[in-house]
Amino acid sequence: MNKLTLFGIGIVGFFIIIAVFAPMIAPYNPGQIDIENILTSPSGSHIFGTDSLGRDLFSRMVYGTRISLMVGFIAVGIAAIIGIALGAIAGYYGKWTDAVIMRFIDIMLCFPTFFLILAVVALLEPSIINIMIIIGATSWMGIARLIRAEILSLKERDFIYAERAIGASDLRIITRHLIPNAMAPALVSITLGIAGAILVESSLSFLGIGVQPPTPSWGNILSEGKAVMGAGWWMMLFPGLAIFITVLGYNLLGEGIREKLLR
Amino acid sequence: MYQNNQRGAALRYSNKMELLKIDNLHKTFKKHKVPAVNGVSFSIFKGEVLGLVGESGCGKSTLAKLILRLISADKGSIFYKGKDLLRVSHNDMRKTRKDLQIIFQDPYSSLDPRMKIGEVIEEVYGIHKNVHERDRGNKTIELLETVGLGKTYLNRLPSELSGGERQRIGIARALATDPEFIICDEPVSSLDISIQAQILNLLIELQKRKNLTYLFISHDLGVISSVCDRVLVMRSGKFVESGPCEGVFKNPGHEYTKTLLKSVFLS
Amino acid sequence: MLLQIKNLKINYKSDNGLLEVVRGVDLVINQGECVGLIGESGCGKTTIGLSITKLIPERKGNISSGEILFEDKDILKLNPEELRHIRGRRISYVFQEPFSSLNPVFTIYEQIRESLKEKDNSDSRIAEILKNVGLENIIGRKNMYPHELSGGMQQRAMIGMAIASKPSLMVLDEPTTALDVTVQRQILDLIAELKNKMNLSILFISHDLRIVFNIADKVNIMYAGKIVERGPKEKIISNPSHPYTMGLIDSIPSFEHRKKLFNAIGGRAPLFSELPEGCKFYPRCRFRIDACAEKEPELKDVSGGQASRCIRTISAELRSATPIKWNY
Repeated sequence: MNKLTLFGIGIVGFFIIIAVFAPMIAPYNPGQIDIENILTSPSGSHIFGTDSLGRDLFSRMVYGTRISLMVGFIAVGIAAIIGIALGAIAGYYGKWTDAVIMRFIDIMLCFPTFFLILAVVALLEPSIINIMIIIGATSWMGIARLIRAEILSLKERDFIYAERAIGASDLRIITRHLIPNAMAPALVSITLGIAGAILVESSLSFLGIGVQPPTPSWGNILSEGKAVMGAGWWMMLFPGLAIFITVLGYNLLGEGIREKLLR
Repeated sequence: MYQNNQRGAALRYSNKMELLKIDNLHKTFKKHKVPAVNGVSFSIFKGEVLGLVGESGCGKSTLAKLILRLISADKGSIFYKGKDLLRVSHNDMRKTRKDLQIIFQDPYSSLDPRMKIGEVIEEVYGIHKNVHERDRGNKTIELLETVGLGKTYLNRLPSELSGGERQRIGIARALATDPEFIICDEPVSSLDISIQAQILNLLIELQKRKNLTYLFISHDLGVISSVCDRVLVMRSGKFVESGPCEGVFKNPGHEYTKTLLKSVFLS
Repeated sequence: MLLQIKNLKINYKSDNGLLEVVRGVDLVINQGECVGLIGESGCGKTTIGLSITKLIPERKGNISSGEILFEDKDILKLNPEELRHIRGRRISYVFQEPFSSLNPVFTIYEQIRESLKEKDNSDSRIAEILKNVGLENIIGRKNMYPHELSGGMQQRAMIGMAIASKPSLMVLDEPTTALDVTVQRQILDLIAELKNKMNLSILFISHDLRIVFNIADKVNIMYAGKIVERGPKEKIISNPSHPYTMGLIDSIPSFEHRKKLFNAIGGRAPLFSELPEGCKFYPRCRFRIDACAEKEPELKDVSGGQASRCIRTISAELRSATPIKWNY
């Protein structure tokens, strides 16, 4: 397997482990305020330094991993469910159903999604759940198209006619035979989508309308960092680096999957 | 001439039961201007092997899919046991599918690449519930043995099998519901000659043993003449000639049949 | 002798390491002869065809030993420049799928012109070639692209490109398999006509015995990487002397069968990674005796140019007396 792909898997795995074992890895309680140690630079006792309330940055980053990954996976999970379902229905039934769904996709694609998300989040309260749902609801289109394309060609294969000949219902054909065989290209999109979702969440949190403090998220830590800028460079460096590396990891993984498929 | 031959066939076969009667079937695909199947009518009698020969694009595969309602027809009827299959409810059709099955040409695309062989057969039992759950395992093994394979194939994937083996699985799947009628759509055209003979043997044996009725489609006149009783010659969506094999091959009536025969090397 | 292949051995790279897929093949093509190479999928026949001008990609396999003498020069010892002069000029190819062999973005005229290389590539020369392959109705239509032609016409165009440089040897690998029956006949007639007109030598590779028996003068039958029988076509048809050949001939479907069962060969061809000891056809042979499994037989002359790799001489009586085993 490609070394870069392995590297990507490594990064992804690394952050998943951190997220899962956060309580055991974080040396301090992420919410523990310590007025005496405001904005201290990285040192032996606080390896990433502290923030403007004296909270240990490393611990906050560790817990922030949970947020990022959770948002990434669930948002993309929602997008995948919507995308696969609509793509499969459009591809299998064709004609009017396909036309309607495709036009719906076209309409959704017209919106600059980030601004749509901004608008929705501004109207609703910025909770994590809302963020996950809204990201999911605006990023399913690519997946839908990919699934639809695969199904359009798959449904003409003999084994699908054979399934019909033995009396399989449409539902069975779509769920048991078409979708599993159509997943491959969508898988790449999904993997890359996780990176995208993490970026969106970070951006929203950075703008202050994502995850609200005191809950730590890489985005809102970065936002704090911007506020203190010169006084606490570690508050911008570490979250920025974390976002960068995570997104890189998922991208490499996605590319690796794509290469495996092309072979 | 075609109509005369049909009447002749009906007379000769008058003591045989008419299993399927196809009447004036039409199908035009949206992207094409020319109809794929352009007014086709014929009967299939119980226990016969009816051959359908034609070159690529003549409509024979489309006809096969139309008969089993795998694609929708524009016009026409298909009578089976007194009912017009094109007008029965979805549910009735589903039940009827037990009796009418099909074997496809390409062993590489006729099986779901992600399904184990045992699952391929058991899925049929699951859909029609014609075999009790606890018997399914045994019945599957029995079926595999009928087509010349064995239980070592249960957990294999199609990618691990040769073309001939996959084709046997396709035949097993078609037999799983104990059908009366099987459409064999170019079942050996993708196989090497020695494997072709094995599969033809299997099909001939099964037909005789279970008194099956076949609609045997092929572009290969040699194959058709070696297994069929009667033959239909198709071209551009219509039949141009029909009759008993011997008659059509030894004394072709239509020009196109003559051209086909001249092109073949029947040693 | 125009082409003489001597003890050719070719390895292919597979998941199990290097596999020898051509295990010592001798083949001779004389001037003006059409030699057939019959075999089923995976026996190595296409590999031999490609190896004649070293067309097997490095990453797939390599020729491990043997000689390929073309006009008395060993092709395997030529440098790339000399090889280039032979490929497409002295030895040309026609493959199975004309649609994938033709470049979809260039016109037919451009592609024929390219195959003429530095020689006379004027329009009149192209018109002459088109006429020779029965594509008169394309003459002058310089904007004709491959997708506008039918399968048969595409294959004619491929043949046109193959004969453009007036080669000595043409290698055809399943040239008609992808075509309709009526078109097949036309293409085969065309090939026969060109062979006579241009005194072409032909290596015709196919799995379809009917076609090879029709067009070839001499045939070679391949199994598991070696030739198991060869000889003049008439002798092989009337008196096949290897059980595999017999089985193949008995497998040809025709009216005579009339729903009687074929004397089919049971089982399947062995994988190159699992070749048995002794004769490779042993597991499927109905004439086998114990001695067959001990050592792989040599190709021995039977009579009049016919040779067989079977240690028993299968007489007509033995053939009719030995039962067919129905083990699938």
